[in-house]
Amino acid sequence: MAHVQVIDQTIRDGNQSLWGMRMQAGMALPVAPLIDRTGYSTVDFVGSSMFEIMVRHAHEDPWAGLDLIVGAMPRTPLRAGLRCHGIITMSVTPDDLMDLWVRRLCAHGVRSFWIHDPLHVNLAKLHRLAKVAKEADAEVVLALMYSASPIHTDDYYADKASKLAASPDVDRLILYDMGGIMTPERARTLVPAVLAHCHGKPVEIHSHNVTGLAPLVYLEAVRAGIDIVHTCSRPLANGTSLPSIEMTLRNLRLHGHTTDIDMSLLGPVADHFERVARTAGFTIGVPNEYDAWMIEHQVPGGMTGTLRNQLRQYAMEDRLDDVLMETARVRRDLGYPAMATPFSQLVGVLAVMNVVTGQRYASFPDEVLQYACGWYGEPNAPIDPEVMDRIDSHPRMRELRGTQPPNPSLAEIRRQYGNVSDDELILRFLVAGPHIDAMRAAGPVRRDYPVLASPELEQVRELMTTSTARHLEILSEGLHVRLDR
Amino acid sequence: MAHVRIIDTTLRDGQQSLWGMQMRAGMALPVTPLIDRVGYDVVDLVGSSMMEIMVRNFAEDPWEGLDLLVRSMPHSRIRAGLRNTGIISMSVTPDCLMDLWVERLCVHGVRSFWIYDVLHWNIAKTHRLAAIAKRHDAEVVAALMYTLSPVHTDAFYAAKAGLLSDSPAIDRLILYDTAGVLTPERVRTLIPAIRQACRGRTLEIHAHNVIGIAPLTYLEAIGLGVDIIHTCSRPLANGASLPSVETTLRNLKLAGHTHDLDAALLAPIASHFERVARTAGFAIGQPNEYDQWVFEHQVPGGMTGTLRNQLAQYGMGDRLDAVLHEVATVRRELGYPGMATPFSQLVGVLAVMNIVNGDRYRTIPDEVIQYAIGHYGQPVAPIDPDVLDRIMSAPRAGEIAASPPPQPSLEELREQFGGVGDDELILRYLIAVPFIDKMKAAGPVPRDYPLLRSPALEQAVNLMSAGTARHLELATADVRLELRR
Repeated sequence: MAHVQVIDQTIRDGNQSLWGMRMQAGMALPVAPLIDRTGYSTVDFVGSSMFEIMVRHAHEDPWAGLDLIVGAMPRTPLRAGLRCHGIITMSVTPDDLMDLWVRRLCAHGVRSFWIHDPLHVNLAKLHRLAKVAKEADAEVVLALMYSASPIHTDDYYADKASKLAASPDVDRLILYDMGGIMTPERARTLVPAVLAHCHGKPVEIHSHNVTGLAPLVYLEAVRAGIDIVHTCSRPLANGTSLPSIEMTLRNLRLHGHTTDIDMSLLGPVADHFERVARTAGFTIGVPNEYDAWMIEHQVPGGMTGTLRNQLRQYAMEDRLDDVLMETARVRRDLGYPAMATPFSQLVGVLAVMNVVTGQRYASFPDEVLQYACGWYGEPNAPIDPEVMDRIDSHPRMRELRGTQPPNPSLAEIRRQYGNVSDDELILRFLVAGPHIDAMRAAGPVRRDYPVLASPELEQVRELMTTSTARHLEILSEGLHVRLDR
Repeated sequence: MAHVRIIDTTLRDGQQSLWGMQMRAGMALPVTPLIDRVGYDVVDLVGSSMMEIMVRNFAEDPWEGLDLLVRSMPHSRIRAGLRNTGIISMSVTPDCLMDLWVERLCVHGVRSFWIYDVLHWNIAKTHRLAAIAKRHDAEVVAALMYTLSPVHTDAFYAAKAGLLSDSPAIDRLILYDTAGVLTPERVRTLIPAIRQACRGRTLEIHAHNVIGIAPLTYLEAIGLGVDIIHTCSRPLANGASLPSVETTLRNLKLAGHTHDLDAALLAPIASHFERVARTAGFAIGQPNEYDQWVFEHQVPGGMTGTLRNQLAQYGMGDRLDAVLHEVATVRRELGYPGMATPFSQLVGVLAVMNIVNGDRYRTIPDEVIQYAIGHYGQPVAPIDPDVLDRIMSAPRAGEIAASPPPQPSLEELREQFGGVGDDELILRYLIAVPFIDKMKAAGPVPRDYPLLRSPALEQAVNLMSAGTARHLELATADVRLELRR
């Protein structure tokens, strides 16, 4: 029987999986002190795309938001996550800027980092970033990104675990199943293989509950010796997100395991996020029925919606199943990259193009050519020779062949962005200037988010969204609403 | 790879699990011609409490409703289910009336029966009812009711499979999992044990998807040679109900299995039932997150709501967890009856009373005394001696022991209920005459169920149930509603 640590993913991956990262600081702040006292070993919070989205869509300064959240959670270490070669989707970021990002996050109070490379080949980058974090005394967790393919065997992960954990700057590893495709059977062999090669370092498990199997995977993983699991508060759990803390605790307890979680604090936190979701029109997580198709195509749950939207632009929504099938083929053709950023997007874009044009590989996004040139590291398996021929004959390859991504120094980058602070420099790198100006104009970060409490108000809001009538009037004791269009 | 046959139980167990058996004939009739053409092996339609609920709650003639439904599905084998000792929950029905019930169902067009006895004790009764159905050329399926306990071993089920199949009137056996606790692991040993003992009879499997594992259990069972499975249309699937036919077909295909279903007909059926649910305020099936606790208490999904309501009546809504614990204890003390009608109800009532009274077994329902005396057959395991003492020292025990369930002849029943037809005789035995008179006064069974189409109207209904104000007024271009209280 194990004593299990729990890492809260509500405001990072729950928010990313179900709310499209639209959670503003004020939506979390009212319950951040409760989360802080719940007994989580770490609270995951920051990612670079969250920064981007907060500036662009919420006109909210993410550094100020981070400071508020850090201030509200003095007891629990906050975590940030990063891909080792980039902080912007699909592209490669200069090393100096990656280092600066880690340093600034540490300066703002981040105490834990999980760092990943979907190919598990850029060991130098991973260990360099680990060192930067360690210099600020932060915890470092390197990720084994779970994928199902003929090359992603238990031996593959055992070898990667050994290489990733070899640096003294690495505190832990994490087995990271973003697609929710790990089965309990696989966990039974994979977890012992990883534990045997991780140099005695703790291993965490993070599995999205896309097919309903993640809770079983957790139980199997804990039985096999992993004692750190990731969960979310119920409204932000399940479906494309992770298992709920509420049910996970019960399952652990019934298997004789213990935790440090104060269950009495979970109810108010869940209620709050449910009210926020209803007010903001965000999704509330619900479990999915077991669907073997998810395991077949391995497209992360949140991405299916993106693919459907892309197809809609071509009025080909009914081809979604074909696109999902094609993602499985494209992924194989490209040497089985794990379906995480940036490869999930690249594979998805190619699959949509292949289906829409009716001709496979008629065009390539630049990033696919860069992948073939090794910008993201060497592919895990060779690219299919015919596909490689098509890539080679692409005109852009004349410029890209043999190149490596530009890697300017911090001094050069500073020259480019003018005389600004480091935090501002990072924002400008992530988001175009006008967005930052709009954010500044919007004023300070709001400390809360007004939630509609009255059931009538809630119903009125729904009525207004769904009603097609031109005139709508609602009169009750304390309320008079009139809508004309 | 198997060719899998599918039994539709949308109209029976789907609505029993999620709609409390409140589906009226007119709610199904608009789509039964579609269900008829899908290609199901059998359409499960009649549950034993259907008669009672249709008459009492809706003043709707269940025989007339049955005729309408049967006529609308001329291509389908229609199934009815019965407990071998009773038509109404919790009570024992005279044998001659059970026989008449089967005969009349055959006359009304039922062509398939599944017959169960939770204790697997009254094999002779099952075989007697089977012989009657067989005389009408109907198919007969005898049930193995799955439950977890130290006595319900593979050997237990193998022995019962041997006894149940020992009659030429039994065509198939069904492995029936009411609480959704049959795991893929257990299936691996249980099904081969049953297959060895069942004299070559065909096996069906029926598993509720209470904790999300039923689809995996089905795949495992098919791999072991069970090739008839039970599903529901999506809005009536999952949660307390069974897996959805939609996702099941996809899982079958990916596992390399084939089937005869026309998948194109599934969507219109599902959207019809979804509209009915929204209009009538019925639940729409939703998968649950995996919950280890279900294995302990084994309360069928639909029953948790009943227990919660009972507790609410005593102002003890917060004691649900205590009641679920008590359910597990009571069940053990009563000798591990399977958690299906009538024992799920008996165990549930006792558990609620024990918690509400704060004094265990202070109040004992008559049916528990009948069970202890053996009116339902012999308990699977001995009743705990202390508990048996308390039961047998209840004031009513002597009286009940002295009056075993009456077995009047059909002539006597006919005399008692006056000169009515057999169909009406059954109704009069089950339901008080004033209800039947009211049903007759209500006129013919409605052929459809008016669906609210306008989202504005739908929202108005929500608003009215959620609003707390005494005065509410709603005006749209074509509707004006006013509510005062």
